[in-house]
Amino acid sequence: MNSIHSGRFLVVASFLLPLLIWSAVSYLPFIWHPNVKITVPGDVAYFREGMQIERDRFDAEVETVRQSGLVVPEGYRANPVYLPAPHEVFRAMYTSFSTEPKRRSEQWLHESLWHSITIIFWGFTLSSIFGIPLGILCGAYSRMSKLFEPFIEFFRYFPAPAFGALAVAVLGIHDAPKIAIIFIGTFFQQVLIVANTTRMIDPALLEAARTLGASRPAVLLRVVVPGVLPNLFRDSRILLGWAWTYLIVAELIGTSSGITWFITQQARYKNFDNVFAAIMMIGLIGLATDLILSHFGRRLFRWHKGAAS
Amino acid sequence: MIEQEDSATRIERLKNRPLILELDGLGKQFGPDLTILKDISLGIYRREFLTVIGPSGCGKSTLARILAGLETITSGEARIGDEPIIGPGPDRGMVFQKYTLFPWLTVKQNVMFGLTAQGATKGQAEGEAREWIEVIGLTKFSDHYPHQLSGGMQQRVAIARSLATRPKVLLMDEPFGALDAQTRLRMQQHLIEIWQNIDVTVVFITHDLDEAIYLADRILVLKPNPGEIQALIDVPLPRPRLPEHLQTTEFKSLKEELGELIHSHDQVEEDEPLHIFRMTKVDDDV
Repeated sequence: MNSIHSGRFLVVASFLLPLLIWSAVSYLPFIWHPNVKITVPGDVAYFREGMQIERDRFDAEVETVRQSGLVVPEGYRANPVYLPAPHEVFRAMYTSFSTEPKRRSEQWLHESLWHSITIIFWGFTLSSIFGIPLGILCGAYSRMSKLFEPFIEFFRYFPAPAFGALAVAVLGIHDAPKIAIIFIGTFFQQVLIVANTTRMIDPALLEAARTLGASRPAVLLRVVVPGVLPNLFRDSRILLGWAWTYLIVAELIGTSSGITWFITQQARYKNFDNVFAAIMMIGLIGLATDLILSHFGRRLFRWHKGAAS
Repeated sequence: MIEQEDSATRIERLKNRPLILELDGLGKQFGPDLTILKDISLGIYRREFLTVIGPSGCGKSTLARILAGLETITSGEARIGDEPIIGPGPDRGMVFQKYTLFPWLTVKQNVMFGLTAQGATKGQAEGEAREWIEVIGLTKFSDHYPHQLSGGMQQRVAIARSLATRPKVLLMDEPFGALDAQTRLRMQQHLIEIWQNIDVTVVFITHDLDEAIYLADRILVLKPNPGEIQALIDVPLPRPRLPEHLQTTEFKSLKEELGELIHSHDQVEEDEPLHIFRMTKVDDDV
């Protein structure tokens, strides 16, 4: 009981600790806060209310103004705009969903997010449809491995984003090239990882199947495939995480769209609270998907010893 | 004395049966210089229980794998009936030392595996599997997964799985090697009981002298480097075998004989002499 308790505590702590640091930096004025936010401009010509300026400059200006006997400006210590405080970001997580887009052609945040999710879904699904069977075949038959793996090994070093311009030229400017980038980023890794996972299957199981009179195709379908499934599921969870990384690049090519479009747009308006909110949404979606998948994995693969992880 | 007569006639009867496995100058080489098995010639009778024993490196496991069709032969021939062995086949089942039940299948599904692989319908296979699970006494566990079973139970299921397809020969490569002494004795009795009631020839690899004698009609002793036949010994113990037979003088003298045969190849002299350096200064006075 005790260890379960302390385990849960550590899980909570692992989230709480960064939040505490972030709060400390945001709410304790003596930590960092390199700027001054001006409340009263006084007689400094270029000071405006609400403007931020470095502390040294502010102090220097105050000194000059004071010596010449003019009105002294006032302000309080502040962090740069690109570091919003936790409460601002949490508020933005709500308001960014409820704020109407500035232009009619623009999308609501939830629409952007949904668009991103569909791109990931199609890129990852297409990659898996081809990559998983090919990976299993490469893992199961050394001839397949020799035929496919050297080229794939070579190809995977090409950074997927490098194909951006090409993808746009071939597939147009909308969703197709973005799906293609996710596909390229996932597929080649996937084949190699699945092949390696397949090779880890206990050869004694394959031999046992052969001595029971199973033909080679039967060994593949009735032993290799079911035997590899739990680890395949785990691999897919990891690969899906990587797919989100490619998404951010994919959404910048052609017409920028989805959550990346939202982030760049908000950064342009200097709404950094919205930017952080959107980044956190990605994290939360990723974490939620992974938890759901791991839950399914445990239920599907009860027989598997490592299923608890 | 009468007992010995009995077992002698029993062995005579055995040798009048037709041969099921024939090994003819069988050899196995890995690469140009590594000879694992050399010139193994031997006939194994139908329904015989043959155990194979020898020091490590004598190629006894390789012999079982060759008969199973999992290893190729580099010289000579092995035949089952009149057919040369060239690959795995449904006429030969194999039980391994490692637990090889399919972990994603229940006990029942494991026993059904070979049957359906060989074309039985699901209904037929299920019926057969149920009977076999009853034979090994695990009816209550038929819907359990392998990881929920003890090692001994897993090996019982493995035996049932191999026998369900009614092979002519059951090859067993140290199947009880990983079990504790008590479980092992129970498994041995269990195996003999099953074997006595069906038409199957067993080739059983072991490194345990008691096990080799207790189970066998005949014992094949191999010597190492390269693996060659050293002796083929008739076991002068009556059937059915009982644990009491482990205490008889016949048993003990046979065990002594086997022990001498096997240990005559311990290569003490051929080992490099040990060179012990004084790594640190040692106080000679101490």
